[in-house]
Amino acid sequence: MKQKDTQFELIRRCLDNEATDDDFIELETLLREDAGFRRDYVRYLNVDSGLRVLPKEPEAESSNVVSQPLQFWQWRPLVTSAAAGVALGLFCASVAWAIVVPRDASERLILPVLSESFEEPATTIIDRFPTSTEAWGGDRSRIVGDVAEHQAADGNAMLSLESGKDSNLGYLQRIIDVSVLPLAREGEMRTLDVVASFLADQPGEQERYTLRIATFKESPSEIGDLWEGVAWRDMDGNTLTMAKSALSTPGTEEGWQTISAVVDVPESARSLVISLAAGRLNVEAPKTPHYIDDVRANLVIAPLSKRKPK
Amino acid sequence: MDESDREQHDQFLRFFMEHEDALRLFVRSLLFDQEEARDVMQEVAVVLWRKFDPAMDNQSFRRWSFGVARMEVLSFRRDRARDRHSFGEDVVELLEQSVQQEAASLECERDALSRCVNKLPQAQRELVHTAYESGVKINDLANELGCTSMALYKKLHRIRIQLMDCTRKEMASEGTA
Repeated sequence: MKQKDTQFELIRRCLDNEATDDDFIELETLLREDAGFRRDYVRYLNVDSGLRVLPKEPEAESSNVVSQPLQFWQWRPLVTSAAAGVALGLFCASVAWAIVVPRDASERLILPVLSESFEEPATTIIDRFPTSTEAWGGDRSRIVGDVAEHQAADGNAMLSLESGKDSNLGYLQRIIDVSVLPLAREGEMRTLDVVASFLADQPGEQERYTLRIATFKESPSEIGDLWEGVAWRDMDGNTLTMAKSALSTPGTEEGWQTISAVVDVPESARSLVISLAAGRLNVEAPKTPHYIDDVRANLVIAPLSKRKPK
Repeated sequence: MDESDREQHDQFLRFFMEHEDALRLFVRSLLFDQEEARDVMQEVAVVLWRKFDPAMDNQSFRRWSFGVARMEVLSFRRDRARDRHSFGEDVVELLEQSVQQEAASLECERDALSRCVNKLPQAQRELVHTAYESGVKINDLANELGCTSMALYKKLHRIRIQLMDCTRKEMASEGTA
């Protein structure tokens, strides 16, 4: 703790224009050699920068954010067809809801549309591209509990995903019905923020994890046809918007790796696909399972001037 | 502005706003001084808009915009702050990676910050609001408060550390840490 205090004091001196040349050299050395210090340095600056843009009335910010979960009475169900056992969040994407709660122009709405920890053994997982909004689908996968070496990122269970027959990566997809989600109004933008965690069963090789999100004008039931024999890289012409985030590990990394991505969800979008992939970079390396857990997706509607994407 | 210009403009705004906070933080991490960082960020925004290619996707924009920010910091150092300490290329790259990789978590941290400031004792909360108000000079404020600027700097430093602890706890309780 003492050492941390000294390091933070060093950062302070550099920012407050009190540092000596030796201080700067020490700061640079620590930034170069100590990843933990680098993180602390960036976090310290993040707090300092954040304080500069604090609203004058601090209470106003929190009251402006319609943070989830919204109360049940604030939503009006249009169609209720939630399948039992689908481990979605409070607002199941397979249920159509219309927003009736009035929002001020300055509000930011955060609506959870997916929260999957694979805790529910009855979760539907099929071994091809999913055919409905109520299933995960892709390469061979199954729900497993904590194993001796690995614990779930969230809860007590996770998804074990195998690589595809012809690929070093395994894919898992989920369709979200966007047509039932609230629309952005003029001066607002609507995005879906997705985060997912990945883990290698047998670390030691360079791993590759990707998270892709794409929106489509087609309805969820029509999406499967688009997917027939088409790779992600060739999907550009079919999508309205697309986002990708990827992580390649150095091969020495152990533990869960988390990646996130944000996609614009235009008004014309009727469906959206979240695709997760995991595998080894080296195609010659033996194929081993990878775990996926804690997949969360939030719809965010924010005024353009206040947009703070994840 | 015709339709295609408007679309290009909207596209640029979407991308820029998505990455603006991270870019600002990256620039700040290289320059220390808030005012200088603000000047450089203005230049970064101008260059990004002037050279924006609408064919870019979001990820390409992110990579490109960080490259532009890095060049603008170098240019600023060369033209206006040659005497200041600047980091080696390897450290600049490491900081860029840190900011990009931690972007989501840093965003959550900024979101949690307002709540944490509200939890501060009233005297500290008022001090933060006053000290961070635009245009306030620490020396002047220290005089007003009847303390040395060093004492005030240290007081603000302790509050920042307190807020870092608080945001970490907030994020842990929300499952975003």
